Parts: sequence; structure tokens; C-alpha cells
Amino acid sequence: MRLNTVLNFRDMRRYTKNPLDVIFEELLPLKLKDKVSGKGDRSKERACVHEMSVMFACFKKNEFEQTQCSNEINKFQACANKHYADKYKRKKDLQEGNISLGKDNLTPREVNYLLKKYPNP
Amino acid sequence: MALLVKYSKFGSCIKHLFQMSPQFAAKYSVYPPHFGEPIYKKQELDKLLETGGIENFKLIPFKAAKSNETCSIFHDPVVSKFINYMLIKGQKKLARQVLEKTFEQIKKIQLAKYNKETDPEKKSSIIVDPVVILKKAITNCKPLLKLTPVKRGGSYYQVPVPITDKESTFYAMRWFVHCGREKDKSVSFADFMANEFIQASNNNGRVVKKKLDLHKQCESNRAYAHYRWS
Repeated sequence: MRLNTVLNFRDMRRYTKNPLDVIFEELLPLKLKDKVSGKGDRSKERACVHEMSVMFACFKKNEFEQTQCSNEINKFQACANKHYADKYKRKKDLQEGNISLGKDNLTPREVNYLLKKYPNP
Repeated sequence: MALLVKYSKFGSCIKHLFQMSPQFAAKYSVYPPHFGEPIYKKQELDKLLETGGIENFKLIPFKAAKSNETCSIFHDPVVSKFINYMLIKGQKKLARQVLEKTFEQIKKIQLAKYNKETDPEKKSSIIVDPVVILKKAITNCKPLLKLTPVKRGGSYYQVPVPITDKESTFYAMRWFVHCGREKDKSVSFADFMANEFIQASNNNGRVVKKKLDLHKQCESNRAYAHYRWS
């Protein structure tokens, strides 16, 4: 990025009375960068929150009797176990530098890897 | 000797690997990671032979079994874990003796109940084995969640988080141990804990109440569940 263009930017709206006369200035190059930031990686919804709330609703109905809610409890624990397994796998992949390509849902790391390999022309 | 030296060298350089991967517990870290866990129970070995799973273990070296791991029918991994949690200052012999006394007490109480009962149907439902009662008590006291402090906006929130099976077992055992330590001095540990275990195996008592308290607290803090990391 050339900062000069941004710093010396003349707001054309000040110099022209007619808004149709505004000349377009290309301050930043009009193309996307070859990388993405990792901020969008973490999903807003935490894992197993829905299952937890269902379980709590059942608990409240049955005064915290676990035998009445065994179905909900099993679902919650299965979800938690799956979450832990996924997390462990992700960590393992990051450590070993494994990249699973050709999936629909790419992580920022995988996107960056692909963009570096095939940059924007 | 040369082999030993080779292994010890290998072990020291592999040490960092141990710390990196949680898969291999660094319990006896003198062993390189390709050493297998010892199978010291004859029943497990027979099962492996039957299912053919023994093929995976044929050509790998094994760690030595720990000194308290035996194939005796009196050895139980849950019981030995419990002894390890309740001992103070490494007095393992004392801890073991105390737990054995507790088992004796449980057996006495349950046998008295068993002999008193006249209805044959109820009689068969009474558990007399103290180890079974201990295991049942522990499974009844396992919590499903725990509370962890998470800092958000300058203040700490107690956030309910799901826990693993191992962790929940640890919580249950630790609550039993703490319960035993908080008892009145006039009562002996064995009498007190025997009652506590029997009550917990019937789903009541102090420790079960503790678990319920934790669940209630988690329920009241359920709004913070999305504050959790990951």
C-alpha cells in the first residue's frame, strides 16, 4: 500500500460544486489481498450450549433427578466428547502442519495456504 | 549396558516430545514413547488373546508394571486410585489400612441388613461387596459440569463447562475424601465413611448433595455459558 496517496488525498467533494463532477481517485489498489485475517475463525456460538440448556430445562422440571433425564444427559455428554475430540484433532493438525484441502469449510490457515500458492494475478 | 545407555540418551532427547503430546502420559518418562502400557491383569490378557488384539502388542517393548499393580483379585484400579487420593504425606500403608477398615465396616453393616431381611426378593437386591458399593457411590457422585472463572469486561464470571469422564471421577473421589476430613473427631473415619458410601450408593448423603449443589449453581449460571473459550 502506498501511504502517500492516502495522506495526500484531496476530497474532491470540497472542490466541486457539482457532485457528478467528482473525479475518482484510486487510493488503494482495487484488488483483494492474498491473505485473510484469522478473526472469523472462532464461531460465535460455543459448543454444546444448546444441549446444556435442554438438559437444564429437564433438570428444572424434575428437580435435578438424573434418572429422569438420562436421554438429555447422554446427548450432552456425547456432544461434549465429540467437541473435545475435534479440538484435539485440530490442535494435532496445527502442530503437524496438516492441511485438509478440498473441503467446503476451510479454516483461515488453509485459505492463506491456498492463496499463497495461487495468488491473485 | 550399551543398550541402556542408548535408551537413556534417546529418552532425554525425546523428553520434549513427551511434553508436547498429551496422548502419552509422562508418568514414567524414562521410557521412550514406543514402549507400551503394561497389561498386568490376567483377565485382560485373556480377552486380548480371544479377540486377537494381542497381535498389536506382540512386537513392542513394554513398561514395567508399577509396584502396586498386581493380578491379585483384591487389586482394583478404582480402589488404588482412591487410596492415592486420600493419603497424606505419602503414608500409603496407613491410607490402605484405613480404607480396608472402612470396607470391613461396610460389609458388617450390609451383612446385618442382609440377615435381618426376610423377604427373599429384597434380600437379593442388597449389595454386600464393599468394592461394588464404593464404585456405585462414585458413579452416583460424578458431576456433569464444572464452573470455571472466565474474565470478561474486568470481572470474573463462573462459567459452566462440560468435563471429561476422568475429571468427573476425580471430582467425585475428591469430594469423598474432603467429606471424610471434615468429620467430627469423635467418630472414626471408617465408621463415618462406611455410612457415607452406603448412603451415596443409594443416591443420598452429603456428597450427592454436593454434586446437586454444583448442578444447581451451574443451572443458575447457565446464561454465562457462551462466555466460555472455545
